[in-house]
Amino acid sequence: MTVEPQSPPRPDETRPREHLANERTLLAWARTAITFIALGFGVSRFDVFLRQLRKVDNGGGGGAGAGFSAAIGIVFVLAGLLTATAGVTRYLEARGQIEDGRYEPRAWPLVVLTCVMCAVGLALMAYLVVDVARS
Amino acid sequence: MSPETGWRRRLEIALGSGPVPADAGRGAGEGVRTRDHLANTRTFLSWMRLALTLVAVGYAVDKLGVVTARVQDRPPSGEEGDRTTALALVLSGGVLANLSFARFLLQRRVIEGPALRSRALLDVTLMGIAGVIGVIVLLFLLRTG
Repeated sequence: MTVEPQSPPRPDETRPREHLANERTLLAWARTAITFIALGFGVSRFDVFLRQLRKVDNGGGGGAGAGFSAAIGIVFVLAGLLTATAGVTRYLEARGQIEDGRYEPRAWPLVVLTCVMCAVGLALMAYLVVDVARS
Repeated sequence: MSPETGWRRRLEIALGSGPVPADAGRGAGEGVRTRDHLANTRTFLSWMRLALTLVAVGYAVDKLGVVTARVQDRPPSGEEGDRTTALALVLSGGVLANLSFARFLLQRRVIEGPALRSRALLDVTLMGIAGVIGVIVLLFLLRTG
Protein backbone atom coordinates (compact mmCIF):
# COMPACT_ATOMS: atom_id res chain seq x y z
CA MET A 1 0.00 0.00 0.00
CA THR A 2 1.45 3.31 -1.04
CA VAL A 3 1.48 6.16 1.41
CA GLU A 4 0.84 9.26 -0.58
CA PRO A 5 2.44 12.52 0.44
CA GLN A 6 0.09 14.33 2.74
CA SER A 7 -1.25 17.80 2.20
CA PRO A 8 -0.98 19.97 4.18
CA PRO A 9 2.22 18.71 5.84
CA ARG A 10 1.63 17.60 9.39
CA PRO A 11 3.33 19.48 12.15
CA ASP A 12 5.05 16.87 14.24
CA GLU A 13 3.77 18.18 17.55
CA THR A 14 0.28 16.72 16.93
CA ARG A 15 1.67 13.20 16.97
CA PRO A 16 1.62 12.75 20.78
CA ARG A 17 -2.07 13.68 20.80
CA GLU A 18 -2.80 11.14 18.09
CA HIS A 19 -1.06 8.43 20.08
CA LEU A 20 -2.95 9.42 23.21
CA ALA A 21 -6.24 9.31 21.27
CA ASN A 22 -5.25 5.86 20.04
CA GLU A 23 -4.57 4.82 23.62
CA ARG A 24 -7.98 6.10 24.79
CA THR A 25 -9.52 4.04 22.01
CA LEU A 26 -7.69 0.96 23.28
CA LEU A 27 -9.09 1.64 26.76
CA ALA A 28 -12.60 1.90 25.29
CA TRP A 29 -12.04 -1.53 23.72
CA ALA A 30 -10.89 -2.84 27.09
CA ARG A 31 -14.01 -1.51 28.85
CA THR A 32 -16.20 -3.17 26.25
CA ALA A 33 -14.38 -6.48 26.60
CA ILE A 34 -14.53 -6.35 30.40
CA THR A 35 -18.27 -5.69 30.24
CA PHE A 36 -18.74 -8.88 28.21
CA ILE A 37 -16.61 -10.90 30.62
CA ALA A 38 -18.26 -9.53 33.75
CA LEU A 39 -21.69 -10.21 32.30
CA GLY A 40 -20.69 -13.77 31.41
CA PHE A 41 -19.44 -14.32 34.94
CA GLY A 42 -22.64 -12.88 36.40
CA VAL A 43 -24.91 -14.94 34.16
CA SER A 44 -23.20 -18.24 34.92
CA ARG A 45 -22.95 -17.58 38.68
CA PHE A 46 -26.53 -16.38 38.96
CA ASP A 47 -27.64 -19.50 37.13
CA VAL A 48 -25.95 -21.71 39.70
CA PHE A 49 -27.96 -19.87 42.36
CA LEU A 50 -31.22 -20.29 40.41
CA ARG A 51 -30.58 -24.00 39.84
CA GLN A 52 -30.01 -24.44 43.54
CA LEU A 53 -33.32 -22.68 44.31
CA ARG A 54 -35.11 -24.92 41.86
CA LYS A 55 -33.51 -27.98 43.42
CA VAL A 56 -34.72 -26.99 46.90
CA ASP A 57 -38.23 -26.27 45.56
CA ASN A 58 -38.34 -29.68 43.95
CA GLY A 59 -37.60 -31.28 47.33
CA GLY A 60 -33.99 -32.09 46.64
CA GLY A 61 -34.72 -33.39 43.17
CA GLY A 62 -32.16 -32.64 40.49
CA GLY A 63 -32.40 -29.28 38.77
CA ALA A 64 -32.55 -29.46 35.01
CA GLY A 65 -29.85 -28.74 32.48
CA ALA A 66 -26.59 -27.49 33.95
CA GLY A 67 -24.91 -27.67 30.57
CA PHE A 68 -26.66 -24.85 28.76
CA SER A 69 -26.18 -22.16 31.40
CA ALA A 70 -22.47 -22.94 31.58
CA ALA A 71 -22.36 -22.61 27.81
CA ILE A 72 -23.99 -19.17 27.84
CA GLY A 73 -21.39 -17.90 30.31
CA ILE A 74 -18.60 -19.26 28.14
CA VAL A 75 -20.10 -17.56 25.06
CA PHE A 76 -19.99 -14.20 26.90
CA VAL A 77 -16.41 -14.64 28.08
CA LEU A 78 -15.24 -15.75 24.62
CA ALA A 79 -16.96 -12.67 23.19
CA GLY A 80 -14.98 -10.54 25.63
CA LEU A 81 -11.68 -12.17 24.70
CA LEU A 82 -12.41 -11.75 20.99
CA THR A 83 -13.25 -8.08 21.55
CA ALA A 84 -10.03 -7.52 23.48
CA THR A 85 -7.98 -9.24 20.77
CA ALA A 86 -9.58 -7.14 18.03
CA GLY A 87 -8.93 -3.97 20.04
CA VAL A 88 -5.27 -4.72 20.73
CA THR A 89 -4.61 -5.73 17.10
CA ARG A 90 -6.22 -2.54 15.84
CA TYR A 91 -4.33 -0.45 18.40
CA LEU A 92 -0.97 -1.76 17.17
CA GLU A 93 -2.01 -1.33 13.54
CA ALA A 94 -3.17 2.24 14.12
CA ARG A 95 0.04 3.04 16.01
CA GLY A 96 2.08 2.16 12.96
CA GLN A 97 -0.20 4.19 10.73
CA ILE A 98 0.13 7.24 13.00
CA GLU A 99 3.91 6.91 12.87
CA ASP A 100 3.72 6.68 9.06
CA GLY A 101 1.56 9.78 8.96
CA ARG A 102 -1.33 8.13 7.14
CA TYR A 103 -4.21 6.87 9.27
CA GLU A 104 -6.53 4.39 7.58
CA PRO A 105 -9.96 4.16 9.21
CA ARG A 106 -10.45 0.40 9.18
CA ALA A 107 -13.83 -1.08 9.95
CA TRP A 108 -12.91 -4.74 10.43
CA PRO A 109 -12.57 -4.66 14.25
CA LEU A 110 -16.02 -3.08 14.42
CA VAL A 111 -17.41 -5.72 12.08
CA VAL A 112 -15.99 -8.34 14.46
CA LEU A 113 -17.58 -6.66 17.47
CA THR A 114 -20.96 -6.25 15.77
CA CYS A 115 -20.99 -9.93 14.79
CA VAL A 116 -19.94 -10.94 18.31
CA MET A 117 -22.73 -8.81 19.75
CA CYS A 118 -25.32 -10.39 17.44
CA ALA A 119 -24.08 -13.89 18.31
CA VAL A 120 -24.28 -13.17 22.04
CA GLY A 121 -27.76 -11.66 21.70
CA LEU A 122 -29.06 -14.64 19.71
CA ALA A 123 -27.46 -17.10 22.14
CA LEU A 124 -29.06 -15.34 25.11
CA MET A 125 -32.47 -15.25 23.43
CA ALA A 126 -32.21 -18.97 22.64
CA TYR A 127 -31.22 -19.56 26.25
CA LEU A 128 -34.21 -17.64 27.60
CA VAL A 129 -36.61 -19.45 25.26
CA VAL A 130 -35.21 -22.90 26.07
CA ASP A 131 -35.28 -22.04 29.76
CA VAL A 132 -39.03 -21.37 29.73
CA ALA A 133 -39.59 -24.78 28.19
CA ARG A 134 -37.95 -26.57 31.07
CA SER A 135 -39.16 -24.55 34.04
CA MET B 1 -4.36 6.25 -11.16
CA SER B 2 -7.83 4.97 -11.93
CA PRO B 3 -8.94 2.58 -9.20
CA GLU B 4 -10.73 -0.55 -10.35
CA THR B 5 -14.42 -0.19 -9.66
CA GLY B 6 -15.22 -3.87 -9.11
CA TRP B 7 -16.86 -5.40 -6.08
CA ARG B 8 -13.47 -5.81 -4.47
CA ARG B 9 -12.74 -2.11 -4.51
CA ARG B 10 -16.25 -1.34 -3.27
CA LEU B 11 -15.75 -3.79 -0.40
CA GLU B 12 -12.40 -2.14 0.34
CA ILE B 13 -14.07 1.26 0.50
CA ALA B 14 -16.85 -0.12 2.68
CA LEU B 15 -14.35 -1.67 5.09
CA GLY B 16 -12.04 1.32 4.98
CA SER B 17 -9.00 -0.47 3.58
CA GLY B 18 -7.11 0.33 0.42
CA PRO B 19 -5.33 3.56 -0.45
CA VAL B 20 -6.61 6.71 1.22
CA PRO B 21 -6.99 9.75 -1.04
CA ALA B 22 -4.43 12.39 -0.27
CA ASP B 23 -7.02 15.10 0.27
CA ALA B 24 -9.08 13.12 2.81
CA GLY B 25 -10.11 14.95 5.95
CA ARG B 26 -11.58 18.37 6.61
CA GLY B 27 -8.41 20.21 5.69
CA ALA B 28 -7.07 20.72 9.19
CA GLY B 29 -4.19 18.33 8.71
CA GLU B 30 -3.56 14.65 9.18
CA GLY B 31 -3.39 14.89 12.96
CA VAL B 32 -6.95 16.25 13.25
CA ARG B 33 -8.24 13.67 10.75
CA THR B 34 -6.66 10.83 12.74
CA ARG B 35 -8.15 12.05 16.00
CA ASP B 36 -11.57 12.47 14.36
CA HIS B 37 -11.51 8.83 13.27
CA LEU B 38 -10.33 7.58 16.65
CA ALA B 39 -13.07 9.59 18.38
CA ASN B 40 -15.59 8.06 15.97
CA THR B 41 -14.39 4.58 16.95
CA ARG B 42 -14.74 5.38 20.65
CA THR B 43 -18.24 6.68 20.08
CA PHE B 44 -19.15 3.42 18.37
CA LEU B 45 -17.74 1.47 21.31
CA SER B 46 -19.81 3.55 23.72
CA TRP B 47 -22.98 2.76 21.76
CA MET B 48 -21.94 -0.88 21.85
CA ARG B 49 -21.69 -0.83 25.64
CA LEU B 50 -25.14 0.73 25.78
CA ALA B 51 -26.44 -2.14 23.62
CA LEU B 52 -24.75 -4.61 25.94
CA THR B 53 -26.44 -2.93 28.90
CA LEU B 54 -29.83 -3.50 27.25
CA VAL B 55 -28.98 -7.19 26.88
CA ALA B 56 -27.93 -7.36 30.55
CA VAL B 57 -31.15 -5.72 31.74
CA GLY B 58 -33.08 -8.20 29.60
CA TYR B 59 -31.41 -11.06 31.40
CA ALA B 60 -32.04 -9.46 34.79
CA VAL B 61 -35.74 -8.88 34.06
CA ASP B 62 -36.07 -12.51 33.09
CA LYS B 63 -34.25 -14.10 36.01
CA LEU B 64 -34.96 -11.80 38.94
CA GLY B 65 -38.64 -12.73 38.66
CA VAL B 66 -37.81 -16.17 39.98
CA VAL B 67 -36.05 -14.66 42.98
CA THR B 68 -38.97 -12.26 43.60
CA ALA B 69 -41.42 -15.17 43.64
CA ARG B 70 -39.21 -16.96 46.10
CA VAL B 71 -38.94 -13.98 48.44
CA GLN B 72 -42.72 -13.51 48.37
CA ASP B 73 -43.17 -17.20 49.14
CA ARG B 74 -44.99 -17.90 45.92
CA PRO B 75 -44.12 -20.93 43.85
CA PRO B 76 -42.12 -19.95 40.77
CA SER B 77 -44.55 -20.44 37.92
CA GLY B 78 -42.06 -20.03 35.13
CA GLU B 79 -43.73 -16.87 33.88
CA GLU B 80 -42.39 -14.63 36.62
CA GLY B 81 -39.61 -13.10 34.62
CA ASP B 82 -41.94 -12.15 31.77
CA ARG B 83 -39.94 -13.49 28.87
CA THR B 84 -41.59 -11.25 26.32
CA THR B 85 -40.14 -8.21 28.07
CA ALA B 86 -36.76 -9.88 28.37
CA LEU B 87 -36.67 -10.95 24.74
CA ALA B 88 -37.71 -7.47 23.58
CA LEU B 89 -34.86 -5.93 25.59
CA VAL B 90 -32.26 -8.36 24.24
CA LEU B 91 -33.57 -7.84 20.71
CA SER B 92 -33.41 -4.05 21.00
CA GLY B 93 -29.80 -4.44 22.16
CA GLY B 94 -28.99 -6.35 18.97
CA VAL B 95 -30.77 -3.80 16.77
CA LEU B 96 -28.92 -0.96 18.51
CA ALA B 97 -25.58 -2.72 17.90
CA ASN B 98 -26.22 -2.98 14.17
CA LEU B 99 -27.49 0.58 13.83
CA SER B 100 -24.51 1.97 15.70
CA PHE B 101 -22.25 0.21 13.22
CA ALA B 102 -24.17 1.91 10.40
CA ARG B 103 -23.70 5.19 12.26
CA PHE B 104 -19.95 4.57 12.40
CA LEU B 105 -19.72 3.98 8.63
CA LEU B 106 -21.77 7.10 7.89
CA GLN B 107 -19.76 9.29 10.22
CA ARG B 108 -16.51 7.91 8.81
CA ARG B 109 -17.49 9.08 5.35
CA VAL B 110 -18.37 12.48 6.78
CA ILE B 111 -14.94 12.73 8.42
CA GLU B 112 -13.20 11.98 5.13
CA GLY B 113 -15.27 14.69 3.47
CA PRO B 114 -14.59 18.41 3.51
CA ALA B 115 -17.06 19.42 6.24
CA LEU B 116 -17.70 17.91 9.64
CA ARG B 117 -21.28 17.84 10.83
CA SER B 118 -23.12 15.90 13.44
CA ARG B 119 -26.03 13.61 12.70
CA ALA B 120 -28.48 14.68 15.37
CA LEU B 121 -31.46 12.87 13.83
CA LEU B 122 -29.59 9.57 13.65
CA ASP B 123 -28.23 9.90 17.16
CA VAL B 124 -31.65 10.75 18.57
CA THR B 125 -33.11 7.74 16.74
CA LEU B 126 -30.49 5.48 18.32
CA MET B 127 -31.23 7.05 21.67
CA GLY B 128 -34.93 6.34 21.06
CA ILE B 129 -34.15 2.66 20.73
CA ALA B 130 -32.28 2.85 23.99
CA GLY B 131 -35.32 4.67 25.38
CA VAL B 132 -37.34 1.55 24.64
CA ILE B 133 -35.67 0.18 27.74
CA GLY B 134 -37.50 2.72 29.92
CA VAL B 135 -40.93 2.11 28.40
CA ILE B 136 -40.57 -1.67 28.46
CA VAL B 137 -39.39 -1.79 32.06
CA LEU B 138 -42.15 0.64 33.10
CA LEU B 139 -44.83 -1.54 31.48
CA PHE B 140 -43.26 -4.56 33.10
CA LEU B 141 -43.33 -2.97 36.55
CA LEU B 142 -46.94 -1.79 36.12
CA ARG B 143 -48.05 -5.26 35.06
CA THR B 144 -46.30 -7.19 37.80
CA GLY B 145 -47.00 -4.61 40.52
